[in-house]
Amino acid sequence: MTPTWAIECDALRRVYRERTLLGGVKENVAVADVSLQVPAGVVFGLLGPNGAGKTTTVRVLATLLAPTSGAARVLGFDVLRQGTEVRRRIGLILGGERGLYWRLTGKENLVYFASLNGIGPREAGRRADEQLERVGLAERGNSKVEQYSRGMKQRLHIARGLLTNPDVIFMDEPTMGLDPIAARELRRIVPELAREGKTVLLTTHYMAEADMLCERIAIINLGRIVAVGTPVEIKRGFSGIRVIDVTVREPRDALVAELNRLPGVVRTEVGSDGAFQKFTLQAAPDAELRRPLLDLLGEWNVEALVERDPTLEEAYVSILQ
Amino acid sequence: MSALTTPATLVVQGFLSYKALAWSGIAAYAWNRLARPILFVTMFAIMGRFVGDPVAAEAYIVGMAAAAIPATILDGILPSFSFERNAATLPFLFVSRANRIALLWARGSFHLVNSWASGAISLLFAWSVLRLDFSRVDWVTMATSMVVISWSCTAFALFAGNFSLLLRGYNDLSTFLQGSMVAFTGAVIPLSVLPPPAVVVGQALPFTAGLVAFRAAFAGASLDMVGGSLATEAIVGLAYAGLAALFFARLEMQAKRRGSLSWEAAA
Repeated sequence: MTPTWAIECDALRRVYRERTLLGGVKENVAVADVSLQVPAGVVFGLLGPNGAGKTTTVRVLATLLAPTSGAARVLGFDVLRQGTEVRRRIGLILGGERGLYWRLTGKENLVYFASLNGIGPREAGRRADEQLERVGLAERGNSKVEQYSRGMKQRLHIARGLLTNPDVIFMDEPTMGLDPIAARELRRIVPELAREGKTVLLTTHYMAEADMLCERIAIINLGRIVAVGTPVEIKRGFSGIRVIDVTVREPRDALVAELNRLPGVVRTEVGSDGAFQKFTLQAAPDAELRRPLLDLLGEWNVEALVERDPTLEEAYVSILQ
Repeated sequence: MSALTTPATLVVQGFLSYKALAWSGIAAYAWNRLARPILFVTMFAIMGRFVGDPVAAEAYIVGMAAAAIPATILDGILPSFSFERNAATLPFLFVSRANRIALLWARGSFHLVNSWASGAISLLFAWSVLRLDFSRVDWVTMATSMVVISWSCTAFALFAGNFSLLLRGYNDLSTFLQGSMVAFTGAVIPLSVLPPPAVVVGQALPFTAGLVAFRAAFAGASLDMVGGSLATEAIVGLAYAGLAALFFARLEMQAKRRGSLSWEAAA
């Protein structure tokens, strides 16, 4: 029977216990209570601040960590009891420069990890070439990894994660620390994977990246899921805010405080747009602010006034604050 | 051997893990695997000839030539474990479907073969430079002894490697174990003069029984005369092979329970 969800977590909890010098036990709840379902064939984003539980959740799903309680399934297989079945179907891509053998070439790294998964040398070589081509490393495949830039190492991580042609791919901050061009190149690959029918669970700190790539998003904070939905649902439904961008011709220092005093305004951020002063107001969705704003600022002084949905980043900040 | 592990994948794993975690170039190889064993044999030959007597010198040379086998194996395998942890590649091993026993033995395989080269070069040096008399040697017995010793020492090193994984270092552990091999196995000090507790330690170590066979082969003993010693050595190796697999499995399980080894992937 085909499982309904590619990835499922039911009341997942993971606690790290550490013995202190005096014999006590210190507990760190990394994942408090995570329940989520990820449909097959989508790119699903898991967003949250540092220490929110993203990486721990990914590691539990990838069978690298045992859950303390609750359950997690990948393609219907329990990560604890059916770890071998899970490992047969997943690819793991972690961010960072480490996790590769620096004395080996990029291709040798791939061939080695292919051999660990039972792929014979000839097929391993073919798949390594194929993945190196896919991530744009074909020409440097025979260079030692110690000569790679950070971006190249990250691309090699991705190639390794795809070697076994997995159905489910876990990407933990794959664009962390990359320059914009390298990050853009990596972002090109993710939708390709979804088009091939693979399920991608992506954790990232980059909201624009999540907005661009993910069909569904979960926001995790303090080990709990605080919002789940499509990016639009997150922006409109969960953030509880509407955004108004106002550009004024004559800057005034006191304006932020005055704008914050308007009924319905939650937060005001100030910036500049050339010689103009630009305010971004976050307001309650039902607050009528157009007229009060024009009255406060003076119609002649308002260069532009635009009401819009919050960006994912604004929604994210609003949800977490 | 599971369907995941074929001879071809084992060879690939052995070669690439050796290259990734142990190979530092031809000069380092020549020094560590060939010159250093010769140096140790020479040191003990000098000690035997100028402090002891010719009989002692011969015993030292044969013992140290044989001791090149565990030294090369320990010196190669222990760092490969701690390097693995430092490279933060463990999560990718643990998330793979690899047969863990095959993974371990593939890692040891090239070091096992290296130990034959170290033993052979030590013997060659003993014959050509130190003028040791090889006229009585039973070569079949000697070669078999070397193979069995290398098997048991590899199993032991794979077991001990787990400690270097835990300790994140190998230098002190390697020095301690290699010192123990020299002190307690009869390589230099005859077992007959060791205090009883030291003999017990020696019996628990690999190499001790194999060395008896190796020395006997040097004196001309045939295989059937040293069968008991070789069988003992092989059984000790088997015990350590089992312990190595169990310890590694336990380590992986504990790492998943505690999250103790997987943290290092993200740099």
